[in-house]
Amino acid sequence: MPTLPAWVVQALVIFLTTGSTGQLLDPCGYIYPESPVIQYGSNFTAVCVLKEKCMDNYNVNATYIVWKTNHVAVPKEQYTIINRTASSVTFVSMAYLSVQLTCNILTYGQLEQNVYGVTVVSGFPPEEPKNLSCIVNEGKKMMCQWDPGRETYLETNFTLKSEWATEKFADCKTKRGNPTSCIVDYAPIYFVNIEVWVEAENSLGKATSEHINFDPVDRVKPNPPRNLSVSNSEELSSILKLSWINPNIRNVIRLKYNIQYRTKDATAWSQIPLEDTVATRSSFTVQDLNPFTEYVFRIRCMKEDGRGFWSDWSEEASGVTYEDRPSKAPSFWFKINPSRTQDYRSVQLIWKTLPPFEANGKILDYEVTLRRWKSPSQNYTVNDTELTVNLTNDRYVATLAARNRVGKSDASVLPIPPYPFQASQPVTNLKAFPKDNMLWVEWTAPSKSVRKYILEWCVLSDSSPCVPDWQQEEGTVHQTYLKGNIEESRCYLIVVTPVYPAGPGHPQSVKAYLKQAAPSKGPTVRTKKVGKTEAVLEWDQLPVDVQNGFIRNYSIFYKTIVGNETVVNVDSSHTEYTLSSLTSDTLYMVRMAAYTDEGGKDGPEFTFTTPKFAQGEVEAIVVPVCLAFLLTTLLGVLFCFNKRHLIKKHIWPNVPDPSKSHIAQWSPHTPPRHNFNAKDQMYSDGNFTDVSVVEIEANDKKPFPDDLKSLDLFKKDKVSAEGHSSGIGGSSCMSSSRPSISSGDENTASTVQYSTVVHSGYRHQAPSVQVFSRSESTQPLLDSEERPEDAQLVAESGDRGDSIPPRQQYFKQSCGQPDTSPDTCHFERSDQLSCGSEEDLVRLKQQPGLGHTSQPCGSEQVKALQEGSAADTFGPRAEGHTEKLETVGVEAALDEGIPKSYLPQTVRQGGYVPQ
Amino acid sequence: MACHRGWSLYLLSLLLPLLSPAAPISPAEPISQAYSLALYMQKNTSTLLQTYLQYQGSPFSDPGFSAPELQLSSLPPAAVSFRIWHALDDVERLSRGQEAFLALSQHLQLVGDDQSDLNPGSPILLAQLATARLRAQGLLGNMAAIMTALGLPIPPEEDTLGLVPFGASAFERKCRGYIVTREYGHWTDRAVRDLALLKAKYPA
Repeated sequence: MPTLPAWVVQALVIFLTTGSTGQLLDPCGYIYPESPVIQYGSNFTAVCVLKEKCMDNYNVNATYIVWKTNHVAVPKEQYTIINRTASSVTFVSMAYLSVQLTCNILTYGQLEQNVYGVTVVSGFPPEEPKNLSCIVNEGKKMMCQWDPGRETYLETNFTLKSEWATEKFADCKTKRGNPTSCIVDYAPIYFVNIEVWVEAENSLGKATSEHINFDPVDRVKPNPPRNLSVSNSEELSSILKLSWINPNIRNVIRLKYNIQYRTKDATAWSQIPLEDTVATRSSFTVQDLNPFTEYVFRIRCMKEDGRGFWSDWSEEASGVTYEDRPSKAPSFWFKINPSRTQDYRSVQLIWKTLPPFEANGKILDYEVTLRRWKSPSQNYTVNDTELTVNLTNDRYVATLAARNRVGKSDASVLPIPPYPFQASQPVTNLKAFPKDNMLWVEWTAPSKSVRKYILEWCVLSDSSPCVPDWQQEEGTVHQTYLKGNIEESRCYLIVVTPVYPAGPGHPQSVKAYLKQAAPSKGPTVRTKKVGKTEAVLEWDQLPVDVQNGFIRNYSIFYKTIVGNETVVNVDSSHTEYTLSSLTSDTLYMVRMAAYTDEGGKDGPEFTFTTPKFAQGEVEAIVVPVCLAFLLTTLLGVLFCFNKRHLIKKHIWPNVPDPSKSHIAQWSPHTPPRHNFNAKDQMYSDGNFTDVSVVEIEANDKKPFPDDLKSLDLFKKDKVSAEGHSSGIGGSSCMSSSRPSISSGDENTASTVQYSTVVHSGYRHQAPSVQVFSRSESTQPLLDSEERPEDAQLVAESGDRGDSIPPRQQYFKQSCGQPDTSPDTCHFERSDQLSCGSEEDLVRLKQQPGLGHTSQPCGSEQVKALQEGSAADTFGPRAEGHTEKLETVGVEAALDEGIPKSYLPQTVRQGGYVPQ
Repeated sequence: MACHRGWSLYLLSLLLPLLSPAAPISPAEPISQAYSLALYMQKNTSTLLQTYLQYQGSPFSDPGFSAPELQLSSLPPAAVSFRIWHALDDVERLSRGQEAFLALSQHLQLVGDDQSDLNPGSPILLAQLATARLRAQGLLGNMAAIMTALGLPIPPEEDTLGLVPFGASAFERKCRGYIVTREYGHWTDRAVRDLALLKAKYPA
């Protein structure tokens, strides 16, 4: 019989061969075998036989046959031409599970004509089914299942066979889609052995499992016990009685049971020992249960001898054990309220509700007694878990007992110390640590016997106050865990107080975390001070709410924009750190991380720039510079102030006012009037056309050469001195501050001579070549005009000296210097004088010993002045001077007739050489 | 009564020896198993009889119906005097039991056939009859196993039913069924006693 795919192929062939005529035609040939099923990987040979008629029609024979698998031509090497009409093809190790094999002929024009097609299916013969097992669910028929072995890729039938020694049962055919199990269609006959096996069969073979022989009663899975019910006993609070209805299989077999129970809230089941339930029964009393506790039960059963299967669990049933008196006294503690009066204090007694396993029933109320020494006790019945009483400052003993329907608990005794009371004897070595997801507290007991310990704890937080929870531990305990809702990442403050018979001991506290975490915020770092190469960072301690653990250390990360990050670890006790070795004038980015044991958290980044200069560096530079500048300026100002007359002379030269000329005022009787010769000479060149020249004859000419000599010597000594005699007369005032002698006449090359002293020879002698001619400069005249006030001042000062004020006035004017200092020149304005000579004169004054040897160059006037102002100093020598000056004055007068030139006249070298 | 049930006997004769190699050396287990089966059967025999009578209509279904005088020649009666029964040895007891249950299984088959004819719409009765027959067959096998375990020769098979009167009337067939189901109960009771005795003799 052709398989379906082969049919399809045949239909296709028919369609192809009928062509457009639609006429049904026989195929041109056939392939044998027609519907081959072969073992996967085995060799396979097919033969195509052509029909004679077809061969004639297409004029072909077997050599024209082309084999194709899945429309792909098979290599010619696999062909074998058997005879004229038949060609075979051989496949070695067929590796297709299903392949379409077609036989085609190559007709005229190389057209391929399909002749016939088959589908070659390959697979495996069945393996022997393994692990055959059977089960008889109570009330149902027997079901057996097995492991079919490897995939065959072919349709494989499994048949479950069963028989008795005396009876053969009907085969059990597996249902399609579930070839690994079968349910027999006869009711199980218990106590008769049955033999069961499985046969697997497909196109390639047949396999049989091993036979198993068993009594179906040993394969029974009973139904679970029904109607489980639980009842308690008023007599015994620790028992519950279970009863149930056994499954019907109880009629056939004896049963054993498995009973499990748990408290209502538990998830894990406890099991009643199997030895206690090995026989058929319908009730059982469970013992050693806790009072007033709801228990849940379930039960299952199986054949007593353990052959077969446990039933499913029954439906759960629950029951509550009867109440019993509370098994433990409640935890008992007190707080002293802050409000107290002189004689009374408000004491709040607090206690904990008993957990259900200790309450053993519904707590109806609490009995509290308070007893003062030798006083009758006060009794209270409280429904709440606290009682506030006003007590005197004496010592009290409070007792507490919880009461339920059955009875009263033992009393919990709490000594309340008198007031005041010095607590002592704390626990030592208090430690808190997390373990097994609980916060454990451990301490070393004090040497004294402790009645109990009170542990109080609360969450430390900045946002909420410390609301303490507490618990009580026995006096023998020195390690416990906090029985409360302890959260992770919160800081707990735990206080342990030992309670002695006399009263509570000194509390000890410790901080702990159940589980630390990285801080939720990092510290905010900022700079406290930034220096050129260092920065002082500061930060605040993290608030406890974001710490999430004990801050163990900080890390400071800092870097420049381009540089690598540098990390510094800082102990958690610090809130300040100094970064050193920084680069000046650089932007630094710094941030901080705080670390707990569980990790760290970065804070915000902070940037700062180191200054270019260190603190005070700028000041250190600027201040001295400023000071120096100030000083310089001050000095300059002082100087200029000191020399302002020179400046003025330079900038606003004194123009002598001719109208104020008092030449007529001079007194001919006074020796200094000779000086006027020179003056007259000066004015004679100027505007003073009217000036009369007075010739003053020197009384004594003799010493003069000596004087000149000494002057000359002195000049020579001063060759190196700064010579400022050059320039026009006015400018020499500047240099006059230096009391040095300028040998202006010696430096003829570079200096302009203001005047030349022309010696007209000693009186009555041949006048020498020395001529003191007046300078062409008219400045002093202007100056004196401009400074009449000065002249007045000088006049005044002159009045002090002697009786020659009128003459002096002029000179004073010309000097323009109200200063009475003898060091300065008092007669700068005498334009005949070269500055050099002025200096000389000054020098002369400074060296009084030389005073009388002064040059004739206007020195007469100087001496005259000095007589007025410094006559005391010079003493009698001044007289001699005067005489010499007079001589000069005479000479000057003699020179009057010599043509005057405004151009500076050059004096021969040695012009001043003593004649 | 000419119904030929030779195939089952033939099968039995063929298969019984096959059990021999697998039989345990101690006969306690097959005895215990057979006893358990007998006990189990005993609990159901009265139910079977009541169910059977219930389906047969009056007078069978009448309350208190009993016809102890009715017997079938092809079915050996279970009733036996205590003295005779007590005097029997193990082999004889087992042989008589085997003989009886072989006959019963054949007769139950017959009754089942009759009832599927007479009461085709009563699957409960038919199922009970089939189950009873299977159990009788099973007990037969267990007994054979005991004999094998005890090393006793298995008695030759007999066609106890012999010729079956196919032309029997419905009433006759109902009567026949009544006798078979009643005797099935009696023989089960006797087998329980037999096996209890044997069990005591060969404790586990």
